[in-house]
Amino acid sequence: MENSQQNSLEALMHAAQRGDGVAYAELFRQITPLIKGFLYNRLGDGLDNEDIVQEVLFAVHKASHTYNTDRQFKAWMFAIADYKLKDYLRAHYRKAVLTKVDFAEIEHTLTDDVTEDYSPSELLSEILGVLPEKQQQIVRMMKIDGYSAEQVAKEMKMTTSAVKVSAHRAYKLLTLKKQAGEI
Amino acid sequence: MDTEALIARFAAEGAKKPLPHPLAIAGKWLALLAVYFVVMTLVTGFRSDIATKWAQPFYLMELAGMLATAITAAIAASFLALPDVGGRSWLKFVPLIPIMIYGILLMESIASGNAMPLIECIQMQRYDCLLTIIFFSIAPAIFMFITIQHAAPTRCCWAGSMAGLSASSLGYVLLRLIDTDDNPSELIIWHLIPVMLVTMVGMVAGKLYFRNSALA
Repeated sequence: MENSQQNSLEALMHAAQRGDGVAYAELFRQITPLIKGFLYNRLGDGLDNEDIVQEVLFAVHKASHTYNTDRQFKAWMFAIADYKLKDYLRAHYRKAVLTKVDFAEIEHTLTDDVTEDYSPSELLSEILGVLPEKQQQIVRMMKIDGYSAEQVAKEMKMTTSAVKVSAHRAYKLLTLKKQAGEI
Repeated sequence: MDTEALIARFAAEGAKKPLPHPLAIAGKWLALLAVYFVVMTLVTGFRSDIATKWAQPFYLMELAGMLATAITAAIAASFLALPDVGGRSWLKFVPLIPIMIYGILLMESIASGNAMPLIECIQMQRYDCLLTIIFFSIAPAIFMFITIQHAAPTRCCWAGSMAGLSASSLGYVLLRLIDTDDNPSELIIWHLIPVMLVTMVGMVAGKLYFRNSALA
């Protein structure tokens, strides 16, 4: 069964490369569950699997010219799936790190005494006080005043990427301070 | 978009025509490298003592070793341009064998006291050798990078470093046909290290440039 499927995948791809659109569609129909299984084994159902499945299918289509020998189709396809999965996870974790510090979240985790003694603005000032002056200003502008990174860059005469890096460092520092119980 | 609609779109676009076999691509590269090699030697001319050097086994072995590195690295790079490396991921280690053997032989010459001390060699500041190797490597490396980028490499760093190693090994051979310095210390510091440097630059460039391949 395994061998017959492998052979048919290879035959379908060869037919598709000779211009057979029906074979090409059939190939994608056959590989979609395989890719779903591959991703489910690695991601579970916690992440948006349908998006990544389509990304892998798209990559297989775009790289169809690189299947050019009589080697196993599945090895070629899963190499692409693995590459796209790593790419997806990199982007996912990068996004997760950047959004990790939420001011609302910090406020909720503070002890009752602190919230009773300070107003929200005083509280934020104290939290931001652990940051260097420049980072304080960037975080204030981006998270409290609602400026975009480009607007902050213009105001502070910095490059946009420098602003983003600085903000990222500030969030990271806040996370560390929070974990250490210092804020 | 619905997956079935996506599949219909792919079917309408159709599969792309397959690329030639990696060995055919490597063969094409090597043929072009050979032409480049001949042109460059005609432009720069050979070292004055070339007739004597052809009779020296160590010199011939050195050139053969570096040519073997250039050829095997080009073959490895052509396979690394494919997502699954054509099922031959071990190929990337093959070019390291001749260059390592050659490096060990040079180290042995230094250890036996037949060479200038390394510190003295560094103080010679032969940046011209470094620049010549980089100069000779640029055109072949660019050509290889463009070809690999049109495929779909998944091991971008390896693909870039193999392209860099192939191009710089060729640059090394060209330099050895021009430059008359044969001191083992100089060969290590001002010839082999630049080859490694170009290989590392290739690795970083591969990581950045191949992101825009067919898999992007």
